[in-house]
Amino acid sequence: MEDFMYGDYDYDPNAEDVEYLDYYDDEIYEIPEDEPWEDDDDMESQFTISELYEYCVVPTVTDSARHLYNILMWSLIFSISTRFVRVPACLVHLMSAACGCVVAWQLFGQRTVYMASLTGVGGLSLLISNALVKARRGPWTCVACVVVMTVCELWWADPVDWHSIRGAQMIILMKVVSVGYDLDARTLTTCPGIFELLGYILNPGSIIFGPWVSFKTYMKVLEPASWKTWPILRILQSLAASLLFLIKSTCVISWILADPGNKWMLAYRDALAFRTSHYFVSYMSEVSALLAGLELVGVANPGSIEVPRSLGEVVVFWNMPMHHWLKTYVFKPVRGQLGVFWALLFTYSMSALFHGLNFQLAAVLLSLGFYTYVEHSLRYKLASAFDACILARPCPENCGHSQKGMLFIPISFLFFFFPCLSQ
Amino acid sequence: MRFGWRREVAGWHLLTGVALLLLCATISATGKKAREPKWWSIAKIADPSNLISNHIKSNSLTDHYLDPAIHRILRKKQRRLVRENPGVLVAIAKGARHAVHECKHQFRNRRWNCSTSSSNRSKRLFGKIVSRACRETAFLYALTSAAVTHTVTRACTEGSIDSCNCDYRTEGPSGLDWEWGGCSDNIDFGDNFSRLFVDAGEKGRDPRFPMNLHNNEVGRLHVKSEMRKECKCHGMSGSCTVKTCWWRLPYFRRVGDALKDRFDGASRVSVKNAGNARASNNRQRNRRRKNTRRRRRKSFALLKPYNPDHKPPSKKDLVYLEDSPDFCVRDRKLGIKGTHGRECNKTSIGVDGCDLMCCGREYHTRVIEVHERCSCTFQWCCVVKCKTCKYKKTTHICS
Repeated sequence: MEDFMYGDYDYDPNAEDVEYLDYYDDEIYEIPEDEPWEDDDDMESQFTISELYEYCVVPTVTDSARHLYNILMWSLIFSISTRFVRVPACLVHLMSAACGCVVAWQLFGQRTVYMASLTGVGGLSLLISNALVKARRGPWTCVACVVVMTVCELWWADPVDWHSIRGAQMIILMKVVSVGYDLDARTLTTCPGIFELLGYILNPGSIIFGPWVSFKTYMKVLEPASWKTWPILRILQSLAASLLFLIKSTCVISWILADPGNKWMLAYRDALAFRTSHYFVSYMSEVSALLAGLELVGVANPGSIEVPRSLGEVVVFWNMPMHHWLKTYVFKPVRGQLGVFWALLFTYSMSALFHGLNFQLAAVLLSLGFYTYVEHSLRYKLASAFDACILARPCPENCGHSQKGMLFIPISFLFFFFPCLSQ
Repeated sequence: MRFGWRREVAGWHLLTGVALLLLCATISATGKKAREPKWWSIAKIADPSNLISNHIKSNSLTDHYLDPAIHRILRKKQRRLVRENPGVLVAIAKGARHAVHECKHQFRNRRWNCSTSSSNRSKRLFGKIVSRACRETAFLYALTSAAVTHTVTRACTEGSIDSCNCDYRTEGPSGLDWEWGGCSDNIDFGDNFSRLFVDAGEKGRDPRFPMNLHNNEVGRLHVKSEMRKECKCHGMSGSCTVKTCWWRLPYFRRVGDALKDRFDGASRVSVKNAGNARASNNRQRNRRRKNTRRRRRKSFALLKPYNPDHKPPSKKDLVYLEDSPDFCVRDRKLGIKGTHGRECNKTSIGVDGCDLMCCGREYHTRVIEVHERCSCTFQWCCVVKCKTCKYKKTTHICS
C-alpha cells in the first residue's frame, strides 16, 4: 500500500487512518433491500423565482442597460447642450449629427458604414433632385433609397449584420423620403440645407430605435426650452414600462408558459414574447426621443393591440409614427393616382421591404393587407346596414349612426397572424 | 521514460483532477475491497429539511457543530469544506438524493436497476456493486459528482450558500459582441466545490483512484457542457438591434441522459503502470509535495485503453476497469439482487424485454385487475367526481 504516491493531492493518508475509523463490516454481505425511494418533488422541473432573477433578469437588464445607456445619455447630452444654452442653429444641427454618429458607432461599430451610405445616397438624391427638377423629389429619393436597401439586403451586407442594422436603416429611409414628399406637397417650403438634413437624419433620439418624426417636429429643437416643459414624468413612466416589457418578453413569458406542450400555446407564447419585445422597443424609442427633445404622441399602444377593436386598429397602433408615415407618404399619394386597392398593395409591399425581403414575412404582410381591406369593407357595409358604430375605427362624436353603444365585433385575428410574424 | 510518456499523452488526455499515482496498479493484488465513498450515504441520513435547521443551529451555536451521523461519514477535508461554506450541506444532501433518483430513472429498465438501501441499518447506499470497478460504478461516480455540482450551483444562485457571491465586476466584454453579461460564477463555484468535496472522498491508496477521479470529472464536465445559452433579439420590426443572452443550468434529467449515453459507450481502461520510475522519484516527489501542497492538483493521465487498438478515452468518456457482472442471479458477494421477480416487457427486444431481462429463464404471466379513477367531471362548485374503472393488466415477471 505504501507504494502509492499521492503527489500534490492534498491528502495525508497517515493522518487519515487515525481519525477515519472504518465502520463498515466486511463480513456482512449486504444486498440493498430497495425500499421505495420517495420522489423528491423539487426535482427542478421549473426555474425558481430567484434563479429566474439571477440567470435571466439580471443579465438581460445589465446587458441591455449597457447599450441603452449610450442612446439615452447622448440624447440627453444633445438636448442639454443645445436647448438650455443658446447656440447658433448650425451648431445645433452639427451637434445632433455628431451625437447620433457616436451612438451609432458605439452600438454598431463598422456596420455604421451601411447607415452612412444610405444617408449619403438618400441625402444626395434629395438635394440633387431638388436642385435639378424641383418636382417629384419624394419618389426620386424613395427609389434611390429602396435601391440601396435592396442592394444591401441581397448582395452587399452580411445577413447577420443586416439583421441587426435593418431597423436603423428603415428609420433613415423614412426620414429622407418624408422630406422629399413634404417638399412636393409644399408643406415644407424651402429645402433643408445639408446640416439641417444631417441633424435630422442622425438625431440621437431617433437614430437607433426610431421613432420616425417629421422634419417639422425636428426643427422645434431650435426653439429654446425650459425645465418646466420637460416631460420628466412621462420619460420615467415610459422607461419603467419599457424595462418591464423587456423583462416580461425575455424572462417572464417563457417562464410562465415554460412547456405548454400544446402547439397553439407554444405559438401564442412566442407571439406574446414577440409583441412584448416590440413594446419594449417602442417605449424605449419614446424615451430616447423625449430625452432628445422631440415631441411625439406615442409609439405603440399595447392596450389597443392586446384587446383590439379590429385588425385595422392593430396595424395602426402597432407603430403609430410608422403608420402615419405609410399613410401620408405611400398610401395617400398612390391612392390619388391608382385607387385604393393598389394603394393598399403598395403600402404593404413597402412595409414588407422594411421588414427585410423575406418571402414568408411579405406573404404575411400582404395577407394582412388583404384581410384589413376585407374587414374594412365588410364593417363599412354592416355599419350602414345596421346604422351602428361598428366601423374598423371608432366613430367620431358627431357621426351619423343612431346606435352608438358598445356594439362592436371584436375580431381578434392576433392569434392567427402574430405567430407567423414571430417565426 | 515516464516523462516521455507524459509528453505523449498530454495532448489528448488532460484529466483535471487526477492526482499523481505512480505505482502498483495491479487491481487484484489489493487486500481490501474498494467501497463506495461514505459521503454518498448522506442521501439517506440527511433529510434536507433537518439540515436546514441544523444549519441555523450551527450558525447560532458554534461553527464546529455537525450532526454526529454526518460527522461520521465525512472525511476531514469534507468537514472543513462544509464548515467553511455554511449552507452547502443541504445542497450536498439534495444532490445525493437527486443522484439516486436519477439513477433509478435511467436504469429502470435494465437488469441492474440501481437498487439502493434507504434504511439506516445498512451503511451503504448502492451496496457492494461499487466494490467492483465496472461501468455501473463509473456511472454512479459521475452521477453523484454531477449532482453535487448541479445542486451546489443552484443553491449558489438561490443565495443559500453564504460564501458564494456573484461577482458582477467581471462582466462580459464591452463593445460590439453581444455576449452574455451576467454572473458566471455560480457554475464555477459549483464545479470547484464539487471537485474539492467529491474528490476528497477518494482515498489515494485505492487502485481505482484515477478511475474514480476521472469519472467524477466526467460528471462535472457534463453539467458544464449542458449549460445552454439563450438569446433574444429586440429591435424595430423584429430586427436584431439589441440582443440579450443568458445562460441557464440544464435540467438534471438532461445531465442524467447524457451520462447514460456515456455509460453505454464507456471505455475499458487499465491503470498505467509506471513501475521503474518509482524509486528515483519517490523522495523528490515527497519533498515537492510539501512545498506545493496548496497548489492546484496537476493532471496526470494514468489511464490507457485496455485494448491498445482502441482510442484512448476522452475527457467526457466514462472509464471502467473490470467487466460488469451479468446481474442475472442473486450474488451476495457482489450485492446483486438478480432479476428474479422483475417485471419485463414481452414485446420489447431491448434490455427490458423478457428474454434479456430474465437471462433466458422462464417468466410467468400474471393478469391483474387494476382499479383506476376515470371519466372525472368537475361539478360546480368545487367537486371533482370520478368513476372507478376496472381493467385487466398483463404483467410478465421473471422467475
